Amino acid sequence: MSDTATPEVTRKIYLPDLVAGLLLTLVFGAAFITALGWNGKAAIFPLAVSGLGALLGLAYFVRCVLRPGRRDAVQPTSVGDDDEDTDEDLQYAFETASGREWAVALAYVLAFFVALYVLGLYLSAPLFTVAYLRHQAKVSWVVSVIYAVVLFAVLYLAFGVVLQLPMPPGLFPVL
Amino acid sequence: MLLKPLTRLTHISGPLLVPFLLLLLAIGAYSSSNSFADVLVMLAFVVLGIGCLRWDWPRVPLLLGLVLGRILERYLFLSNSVFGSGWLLRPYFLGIVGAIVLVFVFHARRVRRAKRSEPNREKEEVPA
Repeated sequence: MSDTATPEVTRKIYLPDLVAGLLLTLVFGAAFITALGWNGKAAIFPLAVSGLGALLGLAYFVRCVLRPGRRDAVQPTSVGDDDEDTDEDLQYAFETASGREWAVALAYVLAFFVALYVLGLYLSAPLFTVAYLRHQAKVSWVVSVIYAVVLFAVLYLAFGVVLQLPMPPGLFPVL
Repeated sequence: MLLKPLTRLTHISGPLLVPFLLLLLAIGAYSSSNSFADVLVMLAFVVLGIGCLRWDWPRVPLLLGLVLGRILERYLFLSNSVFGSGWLLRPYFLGIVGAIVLVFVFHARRVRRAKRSEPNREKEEVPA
């Protein structure tokens, strides 16, 4: 009879789950304590939800500590006929993106929203469009400018003229 | 008639869509109450969504909670006002609770059966 050594299964605590369980417990616990100060019927729903949430968060935290689970590495789906982004592809992209890629993406998003707040929509839209298309999408100047002009026109006509929705004016309103 | 041209939209390169999509997101968030604070709340949820994608946490329950929470609270007040605490014994409520319990029971049975069949599969794979 041959000895068949069963491979050892190492289970280690998955830190993000632990942090998530702890955060949920704290947030729901704080909500529960806040709702205790409310009176009568207004407090029923918040107390019920936050109490249940805090208990489940705590249970999840304890489960992560006492019975850690294995996390299989996310494998990318085969790129072939299916060109659509799947959740697994997105997750793989998130898990394998380098620090620089993360920093660049976040910098562009942050720059857009800061420009939106400072300059308003009608100024920040074309500026961001040209900057992003030129430097990140590596598109030519002509295409970037045409894209920005068309986008501005669509935004202005659709939201400014037809729908007459107020847009973020920025700190220095010009339009 | 429009299906073919619309399906071609899916072949547009992602970076080309980013400016348009970011603007639509910002406009959609801002226009709910014409306040930039809503845009900041949207950004907070973007961070939460990215965290859920990155660490494999489900986003659907979060969305369901956001959408159904307000409805749930409103109808809880309504039920309490109309029936008092007797709404807990109403037949429709008991039926829904029964259905939820059954879903949990069947799921637990399925998980237990799957765990029981796993060691059997490992035993079969072990070479003689």
